[in-house]
Amino acid sequence: MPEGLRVGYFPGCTLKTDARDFESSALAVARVLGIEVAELSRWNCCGTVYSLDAVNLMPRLASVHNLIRAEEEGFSEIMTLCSMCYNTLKQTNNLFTSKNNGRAAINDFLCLKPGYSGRVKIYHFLEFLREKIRPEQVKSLVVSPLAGVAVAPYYGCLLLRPKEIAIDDPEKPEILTPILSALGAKVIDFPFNNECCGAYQTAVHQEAVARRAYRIISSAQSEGADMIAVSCPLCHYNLSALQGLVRSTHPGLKAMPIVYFTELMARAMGLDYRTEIGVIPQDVAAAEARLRPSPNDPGREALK
Amino acid sequence: MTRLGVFICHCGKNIARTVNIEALREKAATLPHVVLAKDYLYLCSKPGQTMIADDIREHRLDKVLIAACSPRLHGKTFAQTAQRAGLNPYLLDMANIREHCSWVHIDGAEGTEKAFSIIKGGLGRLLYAEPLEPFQSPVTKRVLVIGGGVAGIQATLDIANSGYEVYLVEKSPSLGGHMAQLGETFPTLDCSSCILTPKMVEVSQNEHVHLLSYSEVTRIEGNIGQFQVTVRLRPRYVDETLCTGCGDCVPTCPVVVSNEFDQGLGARKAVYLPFPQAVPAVYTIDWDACLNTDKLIICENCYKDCEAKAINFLMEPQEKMVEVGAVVLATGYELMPVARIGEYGGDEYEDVIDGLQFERMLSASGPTGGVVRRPSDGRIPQNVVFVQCAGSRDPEHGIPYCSKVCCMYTAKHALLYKHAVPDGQVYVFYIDIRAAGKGHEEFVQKVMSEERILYLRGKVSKIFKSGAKLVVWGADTLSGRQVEIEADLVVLAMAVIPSSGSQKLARTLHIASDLSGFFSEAHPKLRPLESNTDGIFLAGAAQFAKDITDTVSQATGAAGKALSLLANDFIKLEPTISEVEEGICRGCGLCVSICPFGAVKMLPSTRTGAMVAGINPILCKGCGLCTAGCLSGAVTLKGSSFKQIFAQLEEMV
Amino acid sequence: MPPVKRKLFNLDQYQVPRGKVQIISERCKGCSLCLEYCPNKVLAWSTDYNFKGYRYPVLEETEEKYCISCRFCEEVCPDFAIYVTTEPELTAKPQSTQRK
Repeated sequence: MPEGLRVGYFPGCTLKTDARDFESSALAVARVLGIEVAELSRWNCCGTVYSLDAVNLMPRLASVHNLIRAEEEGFSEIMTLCSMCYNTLKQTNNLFTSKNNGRAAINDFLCLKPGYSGRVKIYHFLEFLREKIRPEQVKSLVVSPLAGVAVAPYYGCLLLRPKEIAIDDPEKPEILTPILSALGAKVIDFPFNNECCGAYQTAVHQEAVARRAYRIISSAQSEGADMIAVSCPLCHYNLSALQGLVRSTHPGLKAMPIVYFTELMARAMGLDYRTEIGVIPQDVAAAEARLRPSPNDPGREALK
Repeated sequence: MTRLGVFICHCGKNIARTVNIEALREKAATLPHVVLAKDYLYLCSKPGQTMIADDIREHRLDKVLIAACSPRLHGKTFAQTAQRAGLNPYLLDMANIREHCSWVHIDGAEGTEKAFSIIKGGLGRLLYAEPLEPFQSPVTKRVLVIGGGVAGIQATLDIANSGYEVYLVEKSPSLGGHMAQLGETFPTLDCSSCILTPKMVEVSQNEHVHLLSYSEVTRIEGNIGQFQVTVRLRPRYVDETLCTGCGDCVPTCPVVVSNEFDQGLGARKAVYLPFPQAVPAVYTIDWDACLNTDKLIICENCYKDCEAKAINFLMEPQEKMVEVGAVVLATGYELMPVARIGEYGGDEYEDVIDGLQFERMLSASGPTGGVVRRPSDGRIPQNVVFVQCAGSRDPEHGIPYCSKVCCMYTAKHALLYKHAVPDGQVYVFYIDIRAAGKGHEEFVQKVMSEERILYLRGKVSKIFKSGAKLVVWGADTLSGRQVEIEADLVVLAMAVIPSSGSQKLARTLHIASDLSGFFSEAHPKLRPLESNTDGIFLAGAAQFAKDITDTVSQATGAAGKALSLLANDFIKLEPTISEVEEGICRGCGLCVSICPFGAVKMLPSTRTGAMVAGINPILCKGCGLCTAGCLSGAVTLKGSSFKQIFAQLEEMV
Repeated sequence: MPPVKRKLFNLDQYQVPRGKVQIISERCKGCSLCLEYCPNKVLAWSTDYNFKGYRYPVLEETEEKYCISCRFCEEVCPDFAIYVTTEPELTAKPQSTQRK
């Protein structure tokens, strides 16, 4: 096992709520693989889709704050689990490293001297595993192989586009293949594995997202998949929670389990990772508390 | 006492717009040694040149400075003027106050000031100029043509029919290139091989042509008028002089592989003729496919069956030295591999093919005998999708340019398919239709309107397999909708790219190529047939994607260029080359390694016998690299000596 | 050549010689040269042993039609334990194979 494999961890909102199993399974897997995953002591929202507007730098500041904190805490590498967080952080970081960048504008606006450098390297957990862990290491930890299970890896869009931040070939992604193979699963390639799941349209146009979910799931099924492995909480939600809605128009659709790839890893490695699945705080007070800005947020200080 | 003359050109308004010519002339007249300063509307015009010549004689001018455009444009013009007036042309120099000054300035005062400084610099340089005499070099009256496609064939025939010897070097076993693979040609639907084969035969029968097939140019030395070329003849393991082309060697050959000529759709044996009309009609053993190796020769079936005893397993590669006066480059193109477009399947789907593969299916002598079939199951496709601009006009895939021929050949493909399968449905995805050629637009319009082919304006985003069919996703930008088509066969009009190996050849020949790898022409408008190395001419798709008509036109043009060079017994070479001062050279040999043309060699000094650098005046191109690199300052570039350059700098700053 | 292996349309127009492999199993010492050099990989190891105690090459019935009578096995065998007789007709099933 490699010594001293340490990486900063940016969880993001969903990993602490809807996608707890993703986090707990990933952390359990990382532990046995000898990766020290150190959660940033303070972090805020990654900025989500709003930050992806190419022109306006303002929504990027949320990401910038996270990157600054990572640098302050001495992390040269940080990792995310959520694909959206990966995408926003990486794209923002690229603003600081690429030629035509917004580095000066952002640093000036935040009155930072010398300012954020762009030196923090952002990994998605999948990318981290590919670069630091050999598939044989994964294989050696497998106690109950997923023999006979046909798993279709589904990548969605956020890990692959734009291609500047892609963790794999955007048209032919196969980063999950060696991991799933190491777990003993049969890997199913299907043409919809890099198609959009519908993303945030799920909030306003659920029918449209259900149509996409149907095509993705039925394509994987026709290729013989038993389950779909995802790496993004939003994909997970759209593909699993909307199956009921899909069945209203396509009653014949067989149920398709949607799992995080880390869950498969943990299961094959015999790790106990289960949390109370999908805890969404219904408590109004708790929700309000989450919405209230913290008076101690250093980001606010910087903005003054 | 030197007598200098300065002539300032208005170039119409090109210079006069931002440079005050009057003021400039008055200032120039006051400079030391200047005995005459004049201006004129167009110095390059006949009256302008006559004026300069008359003034040189009348005012007994020793040296003349022409303040006008770039010497690249009119350097030769004024050199001839000087010669006519009896002045050594190297005592006339040009100060570029157009490209370097008036064109880049808006403000008149600044422009005039800069023009004056350029003139002062030019005069400083001119003061130390010395008369030089061009020297002559004989012209070898033979031409090398590289590439045996239609461009190379046409150039070869044009030159050979004028009575000059031609060496035609072709990489593959046969002449013909891509044109031999095509079924019918647009827009007239001529049978491609029917019109090409007679020309191939003519090449093989012309007594002036030395056909070197299955060969490659590995080395070229020398310069215009006398190139020494090394050609590597790959062993075909069949003696060309003995082989009768009977084909008796084929039936018992135990190895079947895919035929490159059929673009991987058809078969051939390890001993093969790529196609029935191949020239030379000589069989070749594909050593990569043959069961025998260099060390182990066991299978002798072909050897036993050859009555002419032409098979020779011990054949070795040969090198042939050829001396020529000019070179025509006609190395052609190939299609970008489908594998480079992941969203179109990246060459994973058998029924996604490229345009050349479709051509082979349309060809009567092709692997399907002219019937369009699906490679996966051999069935005749009912729904065919053609995708234009597959790779072309797509910087994301590294090809920003339009491949020029795809709109036309796709229309032709659609037409020929519909003629064969009248109830089949054809979809064509396009960005624009570019049919700029004689009869081209009419052809496309006819196909669109008469053949009931659905032209969809938009790109294809993804192709994937669904059962036995292919699903094509695309956009129809005219209706604003996304479309999804179930297709039996998809034909990609892949981008035209330079043939593989052309970059290596460019390095061998010391010629430039553009960002896409096509050979660069000397001037995009006025010298489209010449490379930037004198004596090397360009023909066909090696210069840029073009159709057969344009290729043949360019090939004939390149042949004409080569012939006009061969019409001279001698060519004049510029004397502006490097010269070594033997007494200063310390023999370090740095210049030998710097020279990109191999013009510098270490030779014993004529006086002391010590090893010093010596420059071959024929090979030297006058680039000045050795001059700049020499640690002891022993090398001088004639016409741009250190004295001249420093004088120019001192005057300017 | 394109990377995808497409079936060759006119493969059935091509015929190759057909050989019949004769194996004298008692002479074999299991050196595996014939298996190594067979370009179409038609030979396989026997499941039993010859009297010297070696496995020897055998030709599966399904593979018989793929022998192209190239005689590589015959030439490389150090013990004269294998030889090929060529059938008069060119009937072996052509395969698109490349050995090197």
